[in-house]
Amino acid sequence: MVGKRRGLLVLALWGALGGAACSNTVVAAPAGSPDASKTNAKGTAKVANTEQDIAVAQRAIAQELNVTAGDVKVRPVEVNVPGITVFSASVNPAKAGRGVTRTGIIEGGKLYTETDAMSRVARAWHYGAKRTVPPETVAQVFGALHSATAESSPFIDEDTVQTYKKVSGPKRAAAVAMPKETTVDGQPAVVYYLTSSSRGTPFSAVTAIVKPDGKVEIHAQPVLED
Amino acid sequence: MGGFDKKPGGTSLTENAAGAQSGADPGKKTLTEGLPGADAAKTDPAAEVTKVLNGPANATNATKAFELIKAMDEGQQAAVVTKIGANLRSRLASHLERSAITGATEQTALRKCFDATPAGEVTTLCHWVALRFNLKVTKTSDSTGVAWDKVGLQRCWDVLQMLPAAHVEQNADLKSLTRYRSTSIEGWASDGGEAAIGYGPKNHLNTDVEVGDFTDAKDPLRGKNIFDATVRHEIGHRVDAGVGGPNYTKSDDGGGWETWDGSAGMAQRIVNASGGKISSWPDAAEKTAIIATLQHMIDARKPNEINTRLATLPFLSHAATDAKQKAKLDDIKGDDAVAALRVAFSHQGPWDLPTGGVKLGNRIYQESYDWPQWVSYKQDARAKKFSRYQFRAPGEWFAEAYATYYQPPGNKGALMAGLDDKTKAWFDAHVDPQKGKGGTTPAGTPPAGAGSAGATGTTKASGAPAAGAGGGG
Repeated sequence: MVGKRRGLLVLALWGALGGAACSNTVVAAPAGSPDASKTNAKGTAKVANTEQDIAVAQRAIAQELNVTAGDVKVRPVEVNVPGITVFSASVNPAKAGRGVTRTGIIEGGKLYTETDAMSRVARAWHYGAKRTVPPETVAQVFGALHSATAESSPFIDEDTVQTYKKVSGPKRAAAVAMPKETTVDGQPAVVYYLTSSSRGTPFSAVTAIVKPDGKVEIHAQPVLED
Repeated sequence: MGGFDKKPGGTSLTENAAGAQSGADPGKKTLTEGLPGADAAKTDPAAEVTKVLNGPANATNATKAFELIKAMDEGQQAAVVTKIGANLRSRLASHLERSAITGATEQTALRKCFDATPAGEVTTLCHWVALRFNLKVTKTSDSTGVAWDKVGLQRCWDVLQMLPAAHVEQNADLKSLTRYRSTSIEGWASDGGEAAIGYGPKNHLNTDVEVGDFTDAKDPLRGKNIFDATVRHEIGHRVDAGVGGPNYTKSDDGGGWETWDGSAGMAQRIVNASGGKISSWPDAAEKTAIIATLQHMIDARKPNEINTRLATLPFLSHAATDAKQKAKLDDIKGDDAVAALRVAFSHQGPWDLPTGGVKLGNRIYQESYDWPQWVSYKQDARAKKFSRYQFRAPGEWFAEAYATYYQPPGNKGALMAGLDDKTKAWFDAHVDPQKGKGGTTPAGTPPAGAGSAGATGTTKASGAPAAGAGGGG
C-alpha cells in the first residue's frame, strides 16, 4: 500500500515501532525497508498510543483465545487514523488451531471489529462528502477489517491487480480493479475487491457506504467462477 | 436390573407382561414382582427407570437405568426417556460412564436417548454425544465458544458414526468436539486434540451445501453438505499424523508438498525456483540486495509493498528518470519470482486461484498460514483436486481428501475413483481400518443413488451397525 499512498494522512508506523519498542509480538520494519527510515514520529504521543494499543490488542486476543500473550503476534496496519490503531493478529497454531486470525482496531483502549471498527475509522477521518483519504486507503483499512476472524487483502496495488488478472479465472479477472470512489443513493462509497484466507470469504467485490453519521455499511458480493 | 429380561435386540416390557400373563414361565418371577410398585412398573415402563434414577446419583444407578432402557424395544426407549423428565435425563446422562457403552445395542439405545431428549437440554445432549464417541463435547474454551444445539449435535453424530471407530472414539489424537460462534460453517483442529466446529444462527446445517466458495464445479465436494464435510475435515486433521499422512503428502502422488515453518530463506528459494533474471543477475551485490528486499517484504507479509521497497534500492531509486535503472527494475518486476510473490500470501488465498498462483518450475510456492508457514507443491497435482481449499497446505490436502473419501453415499472413496485412484488406493490401504470395504451408509439402508455394490454399511470396529441418517448433501 505504500506505493499508492496519497495525501498527508498516510504515515508509516513501522519506524515508530522500532528499537526498544519492538517485542517479539510486534513486527518491526526490516533494515533497509522503506519504512525503517521513517523514525521522525518516535517519542510522540501517537507512538505511545500505538504501542499501548498493540499491547491492548495482544492481551485482549490472548484472553479471548485462552493463550499467552507470547502466542499472539499483532501487526499494525500502516495507515494513520487519528487516535486509532488498526491491526491484524495471528495466533500460534499449536495453541489455538490452524489459521486463527483476529483483526480490529483499538480506540480509547477498547477493541472494536468489522463495521463498528470501520465506522469509528470513518468518523476519525471525517470521511464523507469530502473524501479526506484516497480510495486505496479506505480499501486498505476497511478491507483489513472485513472479517474479525480472517485476514483479508484488498487490491490496492496496480501490479498486483495485473498479476491477479493473469492467474485467476475469467470472471474474477474481469472484475478485479483498483479501488474507486462512487456514490450509492447519494452517499459516499468506495468499491474495492478483496481476497481472504477464509474459506467462507472468497474473492468479493465490496461496496463500503459511509452514512452521514459516519456509520459504515458493507455490501460484499462474492465473485464465483461458475 | 428390575423385572426385565435383557435380550439381544431389546425386549418389550409389554411382551414380558404378556408372557407372564400367559403362563409361559410360571415358575419364575421377576425380582420386583410382589414388591410395592411392581404392578405399576409393569404397566408403566418408566416407573422402574424413575425409581432407580431417584436413588443415589451415581454411575451404578445410571448403569442400571440404562440397562433397563436398553432392554426395551425402541419405541418404549423413546417413550421412557421422554417420560422421565429433564432432571432424570440429566442425571442419567451425566452419571452414565463410557464403559457402559460396549457395543451396538448400547449405541442404538444411546441414540434413542439422544433423540428423545428435547433440544433445550443442551448439556444432556452433549453428554449423550460424549458417551457415544468418547469425546469431551462442549463449547470452545475461548470466548468465541458457544453452546451446541441439537441440530449440530445430531449431524455430528450422524457423521461420526460413519467414520471408523479408530478415527473417533478410539483415537488418542482426538479428545474433544467443540463449538464456537461463527457466521459461516467452518472449523479448526488443534494439536491438543480439539476439533472445533463454527456456525451461527443464520446457517442451515441440514441444507447448506457447497456452491463454489471453495470448490470448482467438477470437484467431488461441490454440492455436498458443508457442515458434514467440515466435521469430517476436522476429524481428518486429527487422523492425519496417525496414518502417515505427512509422508504421503510429501510424495508426488500426494502433491509433492514441501513445508517451511517460518519465512526464513523463502526469497532465495523462490528466486532459485523461478530461474529468472534475478537468479542470474550479473552484479552480485545488487542481486543480494534484491533478494534481501524481497525477503524483508516476505517477513513483513506486505506484497503490496514490493514496488516501493524495490524503489528504495540505490541502483533503482532513479528508475523513473534513468533508462538503465528502469530497465533493471523492469527485469526484476518481470521475473516470475516477483509475480509469484504478489499473489502468494495466505490473506490472498492463492489456493483459491485456478492456477494456484504463478508457477515456478513445476511448483507453486505460497504462504499457507499467517504465523507463518510456507509451502510448495507440484502444480499439476491440482488436476486431481477434491476442492480448491485442498491446496492450502499439506494438512488441508489430507483433511479434504479424508472428507471426500468418507463422503456418503456409496463406497468409501467413490468420489475419488477415476479422479485420483492412487490416493484412493492409499486411503484404502493406510487410512481405512476396513481397507476400503464396507460403505458410507448405515447398515441395512440402501445406498441412495449409489448404484454400486459394496455400500453395505460402515462397520465400526466395535461391530456396531450405524444408525441414523447420513449427512450427504
